[in-house]
Amino acid sequence: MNNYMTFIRKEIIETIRNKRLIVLACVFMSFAILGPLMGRYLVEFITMIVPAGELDVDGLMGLFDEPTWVDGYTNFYTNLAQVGVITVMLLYMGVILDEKRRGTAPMVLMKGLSHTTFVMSKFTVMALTTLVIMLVSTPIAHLYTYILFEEAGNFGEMMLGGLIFWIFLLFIIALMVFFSTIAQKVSNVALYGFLAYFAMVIFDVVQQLREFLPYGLVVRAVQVSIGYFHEHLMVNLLITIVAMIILLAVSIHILKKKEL
Amino acid sequence: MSETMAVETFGLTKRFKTALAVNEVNLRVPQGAICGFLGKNGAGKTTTIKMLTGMKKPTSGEFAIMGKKETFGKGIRAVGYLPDVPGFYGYMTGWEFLDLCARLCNMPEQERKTHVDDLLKQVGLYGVKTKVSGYSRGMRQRLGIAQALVNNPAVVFMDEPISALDPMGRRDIMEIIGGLRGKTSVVLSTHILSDVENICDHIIIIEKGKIVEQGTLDEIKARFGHEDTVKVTFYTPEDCGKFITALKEQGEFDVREEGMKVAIQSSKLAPVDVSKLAAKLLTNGDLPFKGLNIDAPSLDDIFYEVTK
Repeated sequence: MNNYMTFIRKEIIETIRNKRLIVLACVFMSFAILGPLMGRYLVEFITMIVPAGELDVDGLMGLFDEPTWVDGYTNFYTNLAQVGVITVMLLYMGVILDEKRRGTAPMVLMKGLSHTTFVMSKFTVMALTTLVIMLVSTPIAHLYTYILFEEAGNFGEMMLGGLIFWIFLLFIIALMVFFSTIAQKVSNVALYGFLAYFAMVIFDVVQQLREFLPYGLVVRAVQVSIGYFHEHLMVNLLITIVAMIILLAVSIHILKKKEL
Repeated sequence: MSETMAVETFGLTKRFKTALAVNEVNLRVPQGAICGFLGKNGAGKTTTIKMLTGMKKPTSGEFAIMGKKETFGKGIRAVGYLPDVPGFYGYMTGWEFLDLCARLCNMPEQERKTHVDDLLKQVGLYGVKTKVSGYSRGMRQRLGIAQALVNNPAVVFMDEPISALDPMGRRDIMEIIGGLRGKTSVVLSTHILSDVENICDHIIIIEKGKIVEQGTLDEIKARFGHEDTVKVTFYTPEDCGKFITALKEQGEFDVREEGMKVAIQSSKLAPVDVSKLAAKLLTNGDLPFKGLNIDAPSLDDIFYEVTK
């Protein structure tokens, strides 16, 4: 427990001093503001960009429904599921591998830190960092939606949606821990990460799979935020959490067997 | 009852896919010794050290640290390790890094602070507030030594700690290592034999994964005492070359060029007869030379002899 707290302290210092916290906060909060803004003014933005006379504004308006606060929420989560997730992947792709390559892993592991504590304290701090950022950016998205649309969903449900999205982020982080443990090069971690991400996006097209796979939690987060609790929500959550635990357990097992 | 060795291995072997890196090594490092661990590049020094620090899994064989058998995958509390290029968290100061290491060793708070200050004083980094990312190579090696000592280890393994340093940095680090004499056992892997001769009291030489020589420096020198070397020092490489050519015409000699110096050994002639012959060749060839003497074997000579 002592070493767990010691290494958590080290990871928190690293997150702050290496500017990971600021980068994540900037990206997530930007989307907390831009998501609702794009939801409210998308058509207006398009008409501003395209030169006058080249666009049938009335025809364009006809293609879109009148924007509502649901669009504000939806844009927030879909933007996070793309740029937010890729940012998390880029920031955490070297989480284990960098320690091995820099030679810091043997230094701390030889001092009595167990492999389990090494991995779990890193995961804990990544989980806490993303939790804090979700807890700050979700209310901003809610408030901005309310300001722009003069109405919004239930705040509690929006926060619950944010927590569901956070569990999806935890799965992504566990995936990066796993890839970072097995790969020899950071470029390979990035490759595996992006392949996994595109596989998730592709499988999401298949309705039957979306019901159960981790990526389905993005849609669940939007649904819960607007007050709709899908019948497969718990199954979706359970599968994601079990997958996350398996990824972490396998990473620890591999790390224990690996020579440094 | 036999004395407990600081480090002892029993047929320690490491085989990689295509190569036998360490082959049935049986080495013994007495407690309190500063032991020079010598070998050419690829001889198996680093692999041996990594096995003894629990970082690599032996293919077969066993090893004991302070008489206690150790295994791969379990932290070995009794050892400290300094790699050739030590890794640090660049965003920390030296004090913060050592404090982290001391915390991981579960050192009580009051003891920890004093210990970290003492270590930084010992390696000359006390009061340095710069982040480790701004350290010079020499400073990083000093901090590396401090972290290797943070758990008060019985044995410290240092893998080529001076190979990348300038002469001043090298001297500083050797002084710090020399200062550990009597406090802890040190296994020092290096290529710089003059440094080993200055501070090590025990030598192990490894060649192609096998131990070819081990013992105290005096014991090893005594074993090679019959192999005194005749050395002739010249002013120019041309004279050096002419002398070697003339010498080889006289019979079979083991000749080694060391810059402007020619070292000669013979299996047939005594060193004094070799020196007489050399003097004759120098006079006959009218070759200007700086010096001619018979040297007892240096560690350099012994290393060359056992690894050739």
